[in-house]
Amino acid sequence: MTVRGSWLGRRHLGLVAIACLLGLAGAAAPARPAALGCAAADGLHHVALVVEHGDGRILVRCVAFGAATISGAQALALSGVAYATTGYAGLGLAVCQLDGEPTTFPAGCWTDTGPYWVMFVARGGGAWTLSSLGISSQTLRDGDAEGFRYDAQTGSPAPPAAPSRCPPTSAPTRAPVSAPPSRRPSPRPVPTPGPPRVVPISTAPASVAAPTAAAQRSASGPASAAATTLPAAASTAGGAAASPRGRPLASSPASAVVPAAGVLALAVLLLVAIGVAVWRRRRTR
Amino acid sequence: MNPRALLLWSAAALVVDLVTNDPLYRALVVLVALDVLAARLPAERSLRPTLIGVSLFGALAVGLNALLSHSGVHVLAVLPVAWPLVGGPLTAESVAYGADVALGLVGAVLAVAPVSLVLEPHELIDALPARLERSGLVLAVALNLVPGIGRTALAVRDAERMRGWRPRGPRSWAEILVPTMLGAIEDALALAEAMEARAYGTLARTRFASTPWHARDRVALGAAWAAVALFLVARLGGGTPDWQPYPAITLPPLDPVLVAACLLLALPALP
Repeated sequence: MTVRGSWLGRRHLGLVAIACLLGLAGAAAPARPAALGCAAADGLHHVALVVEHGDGRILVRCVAFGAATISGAQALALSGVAYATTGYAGLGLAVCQLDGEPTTFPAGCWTDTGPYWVMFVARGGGAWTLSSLGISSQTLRDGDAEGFRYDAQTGSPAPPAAPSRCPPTSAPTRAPVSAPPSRRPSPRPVPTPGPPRVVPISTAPASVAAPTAAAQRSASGPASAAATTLPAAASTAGGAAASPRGRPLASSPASAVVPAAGVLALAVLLLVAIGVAVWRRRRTR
Repeated sequence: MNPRALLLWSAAALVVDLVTNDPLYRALVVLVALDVLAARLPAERSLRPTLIGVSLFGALAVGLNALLSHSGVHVLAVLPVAWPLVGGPLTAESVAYGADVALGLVGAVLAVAPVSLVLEPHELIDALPARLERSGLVLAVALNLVPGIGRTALAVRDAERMRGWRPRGPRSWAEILVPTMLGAIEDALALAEAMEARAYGTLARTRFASTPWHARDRVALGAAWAAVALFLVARLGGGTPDWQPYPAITLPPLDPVLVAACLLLALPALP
């Protein structure tokens, strides 16, 4: 079948090319988040961790790191808070247990009706947004915050307490900046609530030493008894390090949604315009 | 457009539709396939029956998932729990997942629709490699079966109406169904005799006119498979995570590069 009329084809080819270029440009220019209050300390990068328990208790940690980005699972591991995870359909790892809550959890991590850990992310001191990825797939930068709330699953998941600035870093427990990448952090009890535990690292996120099972168990002190319920995969040090764990949920960060939505809207408009033009041409034939 | 190029384009669109369950990319594939069908459909053929069919399938997928899946935190309505299978909460998440499945189904059907709606049976056989000639013949005959039976049914119904037949419930349609099936069998025998009369199976198949490849066919095909490559690379690299609306509905992930890849599929729609 041959369709004549090259003027229409050239115009549409041009539009397609423009759309492709805009798409590539949108992908290459993500918005830079602003820094949180704790971000400037010691010239390191910082991520705040906010954990809101079902009874309203709030745990805040400030995690420092040397690389440009860190995964949500690495941030959680470096915070010293005990946790357990499970894989979640290609989205990363979901958090089943955090800071000893719940004391036990089902084999599938959560149920359709019971409470569960919902993950939120705040970019550059902004508002919480529900995370659409598990903690192993979520990338955090300096000034971002990672939040978890134990939600009763009775309606829309509410975000945890405001992603406030990192706690003061006057009494951090520090590991040497020049520590070799393979060095494991020693188990170090951190009372809850207690001073923030800052673990500066100078290595790339991929080489960040994961907490050992002992470190995970001892990190949250009172939760050590609960940590005995961690699944085998979660209590394997190497596995925890190489494959960060996370809770899937939520929408993309607002800074990434805006350009992506623009590109999508442009693409849809372009395809509809092509369709209308082709259909009108077909009817006049 | 060259039949082989169109066949390979359909395969590329099908791969893009199925390689991810992200509803945004699937919606783009649906739009692209509609554009290509509108541009390439012969004037004497109509797209309406296909659109009605895929719309019904899509609505069925959404409805079934909404009724049978009760997971999700955003409850829209609650059916009595005593109702078997469907009893329980109807959630926005189950509706969204049903819509995603529907988009996948509709996209897959529309992606391969040019094979039956745009190509003639002999073009389809020509488009297949020589080793698949017999398979292509079976496919072409099968593709002609449905419209052939439809035409026979309409003819029988018109003839019966002229004789005073009127629909009076499901039983009365047997008077249409039986002659239709007999007509279909008769058509199949006639087709077999015609093929035998043309020495089918005795010698290699001859071709009466092969459509040449044009530069735009190569460009459109290259763009379509470039789109497939982008999706596969993103998939293998973890760039297109599956969308999962449960337990709380979320915005699907979106990569502008993959949106551009979907647009590459639309080149055959351009005149």
